[in-house]
Amino acid sequence: MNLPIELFIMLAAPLLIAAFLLRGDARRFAAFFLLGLGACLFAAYINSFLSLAAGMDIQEATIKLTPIIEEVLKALPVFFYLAVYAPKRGAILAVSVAVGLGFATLENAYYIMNIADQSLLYAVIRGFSAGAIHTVCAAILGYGLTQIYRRQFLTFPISFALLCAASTLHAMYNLFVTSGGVWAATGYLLPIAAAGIMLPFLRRISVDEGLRERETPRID
Amino acid sequence: MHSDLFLNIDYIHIWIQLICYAVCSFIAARRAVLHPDIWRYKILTGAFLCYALADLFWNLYFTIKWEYALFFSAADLSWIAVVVFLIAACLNIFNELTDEERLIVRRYRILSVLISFVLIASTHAVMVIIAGGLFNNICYGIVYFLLVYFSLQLWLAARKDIRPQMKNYHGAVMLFVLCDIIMFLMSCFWETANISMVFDMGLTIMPVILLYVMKKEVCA
Repeated sequence: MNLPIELFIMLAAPLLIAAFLLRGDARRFAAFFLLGLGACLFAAYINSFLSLAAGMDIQEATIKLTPIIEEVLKALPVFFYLAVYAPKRGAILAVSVAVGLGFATLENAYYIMNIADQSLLYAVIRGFSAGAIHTVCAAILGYGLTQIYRRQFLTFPISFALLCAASTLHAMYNLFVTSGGVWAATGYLLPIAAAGIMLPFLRRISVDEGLRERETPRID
Repeated sequence: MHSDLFLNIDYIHIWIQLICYAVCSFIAARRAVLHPDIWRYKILTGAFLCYALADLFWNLYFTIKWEYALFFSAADLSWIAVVVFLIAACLNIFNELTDEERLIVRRYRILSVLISFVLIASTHAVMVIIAGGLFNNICYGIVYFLLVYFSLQLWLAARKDIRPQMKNYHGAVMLFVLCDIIMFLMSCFWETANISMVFDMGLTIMPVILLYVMKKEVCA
C-alpha cells in the first residue's frame, strides 16, 4: 500500500471513532475534518491522473490544474452539507474551515514524510503557509455561502465565482512557492496576509451568530 | 522596439488597473455597509476584488516567468468569476421585481436571446478561428452570453419604466462586456493590438462608472 493511503488510514481512524463518540458541533467538526482528509486523498490521485493525461509537467500542473481540482474537491462536502441538511449560518463557515483543515493536515503529513529536508524550520513554514492557504481558500467559500444564506437563488453563481477566486489565490500561492528564492518567501507570507484580511469579516459572522443566539429565548 | 514599448505600457497599465479595481472594491464594500439593503454593492465588491486578483496573478506570472499566462490560466478563472458576479447581480434584480414587472421583462427575452447570441457567438467564433483557444472561448462565451441576455432584458424593460433608475447600471454592465469583447477581438490581430489597449483602459475606468451609476440610482 502506498504512503497517502497509509497516512489517511492513520489519521482517519481516530477521527472516525471520535465522530461516533461526540455529539453536536464537535461531531460535525470531526466528520467534516475526516471528509477533508478524504478530499485530499482523492485530489492526490486525480491530480496525478489529469496532469499525465494533459501532458503537463509538475510545475505547470501545480499552477494550472492542481488549484482547481483541490478547491472543487474541498467544496463538495460543503455543498453536500448545504443540500442535505438545513444548516445554521455560522455552521456553514465552520464546516468549510473543517474540510480545509482536514485537507491541509493530510497534505502536510504527506509532504513532511516525503522530503529530504525534515527540519523544524521547514515544518513551521509548511504549517503556516500550505496549511493556512487551504484553510483560507475554504473560508472564502464558507464566508460567501453564509452571506447568501437567505438568498438560495444566488447559491450557484456565487459559489462558482468564489470557487474561481479561491482557485486563483491558490494558484498564486503555488506560483510563488514553485518559483523559489524571494518569490517563495513572499508566497509563504501570502496565506497569513490573506487570513489577516479575512479575519474581521469572519469575526463579524461569529459576532452576528452570537448575538442571534443571545436574542433567541432559551426554553428549559 | 515597438513591441517592447507596448509590453511595458501594458505591464504598467495592468498594475494601475489592479489598483483601480482594489480601491473601487473598498469603496463598494464601504457602501455595502452603509446600504445593507442594496445587495448589489456586496456583489460588486466581490466582482472588483476578483478582477484585482486576476490582474495580480497575470502580472506576477509575467514578472516571474517573463511570459503571459495564456489560454486558460488561473487569471482567467477570476475574470470569469467577475462576469458570474455580475450575472448574480442581475438575478438579484430579477428576484426583487414584482410579478407584473417580471411579466413585462419577459416580453424582451426572445429579442435578448437573439441579440446576445449573435453578438457573443460571432465574436467568439472569429477569435477561435484566428487565435484558437476553443475551451477558453467557450467558457467566456457562455458567461458573457448569460450576462448580456439578462442585462439586455432588464435594460429594455427599464426603458419602458420598469425600474427606470437602473437603466444606466444595465447600460454600464453592457458597456463593460462590449469593452472586454472588443479588447479580446482586437488583440487577436497583430495590426490592431495597440487599439486593444484603448479598450483595456476603458475596462480600467469601468468600476468607477459602475459605482457612479449605482450612487446616482441610490440617490434618485
